[in-house]
Amino acid sequence: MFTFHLKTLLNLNLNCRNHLDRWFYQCRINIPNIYNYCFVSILFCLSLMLTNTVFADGIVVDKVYHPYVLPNEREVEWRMQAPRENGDRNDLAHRFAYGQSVMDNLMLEFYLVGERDAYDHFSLSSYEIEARWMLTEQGQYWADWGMLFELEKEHQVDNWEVTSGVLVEKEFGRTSLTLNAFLIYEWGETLEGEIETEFRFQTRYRYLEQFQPAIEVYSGENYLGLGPAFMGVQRFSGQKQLKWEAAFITGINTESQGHILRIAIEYEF
Amino acid sequence: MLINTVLIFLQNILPIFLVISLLLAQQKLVYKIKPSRSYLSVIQLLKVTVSGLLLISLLNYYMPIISPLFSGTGLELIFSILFSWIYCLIVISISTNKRPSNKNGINLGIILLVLCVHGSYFSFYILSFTIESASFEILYSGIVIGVIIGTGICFSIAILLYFILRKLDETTKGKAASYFLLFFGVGQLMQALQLLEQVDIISSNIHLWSTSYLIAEDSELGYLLTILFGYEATPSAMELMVYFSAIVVPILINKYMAYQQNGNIDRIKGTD
Repeated sequence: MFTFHLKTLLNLNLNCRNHLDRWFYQCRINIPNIYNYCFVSILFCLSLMLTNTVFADGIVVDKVYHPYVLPNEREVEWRMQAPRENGDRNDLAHRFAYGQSVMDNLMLEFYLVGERDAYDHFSLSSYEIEARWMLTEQGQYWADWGMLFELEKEHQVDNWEVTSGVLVEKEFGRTSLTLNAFLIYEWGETLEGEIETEFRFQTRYRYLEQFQPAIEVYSGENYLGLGPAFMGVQRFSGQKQLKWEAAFITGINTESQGHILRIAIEYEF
Repeated sequence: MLINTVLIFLQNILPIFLVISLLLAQQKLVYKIKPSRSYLSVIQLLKVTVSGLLLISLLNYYMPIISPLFSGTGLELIFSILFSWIYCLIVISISTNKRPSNKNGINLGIILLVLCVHGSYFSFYILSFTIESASFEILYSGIVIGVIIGTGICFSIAILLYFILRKLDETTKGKAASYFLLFFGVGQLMQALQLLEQVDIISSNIHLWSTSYLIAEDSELGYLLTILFGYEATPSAMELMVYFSAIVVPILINKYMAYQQNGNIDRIKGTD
């Protein structure tokens, strides 16, 4: 059964890559630079407009994914999110993950999510599996493309969430623009089945490898937040590298007041 | 604790990073004109930081003595004077753009004053917390990590501002950084005015309008605009008058000085 699924996935991957190759090749007609900016601006504006069509029940601020996978990549990751609502008590969520690339362009990652409850007890709240699929090689086309699929199940409650999304990254000199657009469907015991959209946008200036200042924008579930961030990477021998990220996101529309501090540390080996 | 520390750190320490970024961006142009001139170095910045930290400690130490002076308005008066000095030094720094001999000293003075004023606000928070909480563990995890993350975020904003100003300078022939610096100085002057209004030295008139519903002063965007442009959501007529005069007068003086200088050069050329 599993082999069949893997074969199907492999075929799908190859077919899609062929289709995409053709599609990207057709799109590769010398697009002037101004169109690049227009494209990014339209995507960004679209992301801000579409947020009003959904209803809230989760935290939108998380990692901005890049559409890259390295062959034989393995990683362990820790993420922390500390939201603070208008001076009220601080919530806290931790994610521990292990990931491994199963193909040259496909990576699977397993997460354990822990949250602090109203009584300050910290416990496992959910677990998830995530697949990141690199559609194009870095620098092969006008922009680098990838996809993300995620399945999440809440611990102790029969609630589920399926996410699929597009990851786009475009480099302009030393500046990188990354856009994540997600379509989420959630259902379960205590959740009404609903489809949501989420957008994450990051503009990063590659000042130093170890320190790259950035601005991040998050929108979705009636939330709109933006704030400064910084990230960096320290490379060691071989494929070993340590990555870090931190961002301080502030809700800027009337329904998303408060702040979210997010930190992520990732070790690849 | 962690998120509160980051928030208060950003509110109080960000102006220090921004002023360094603005001064460096402004100096880059002077350096391009006369590369032999000295340029703000890391060692100079470290020396100013150490001196600033010493001054903050002294200010904290003498706080109980300063505070009750002048019928309990000592602290407000001292801070408003320091804020006004920052504005004056910034105006002098901008007007000496073409004579960079004393520029480094003035710029270091600006950084020292900004560090003293804004750093002491943050130190009040840290001190009040250490008095309240005896737990070293919470102090370590909350304040130390908060300060590290806050520093990283401040660096991030300062670097982005620096490169945006450098990019703008290419199109505005180096004027963008100077104007931003002037606006920063005006922002400091407005804070001095607000402190004087608080202690009734200047009477606060009726507020002309309120833009709080658009950008609240206590929001993050409000803080950033207050630091960079002296944003005031509910300005009084007095504040508005001071704000525009503080922008227009130095610009006019600079233009007049440049006009006179050009006239002198033309006269010298004419006599030759």
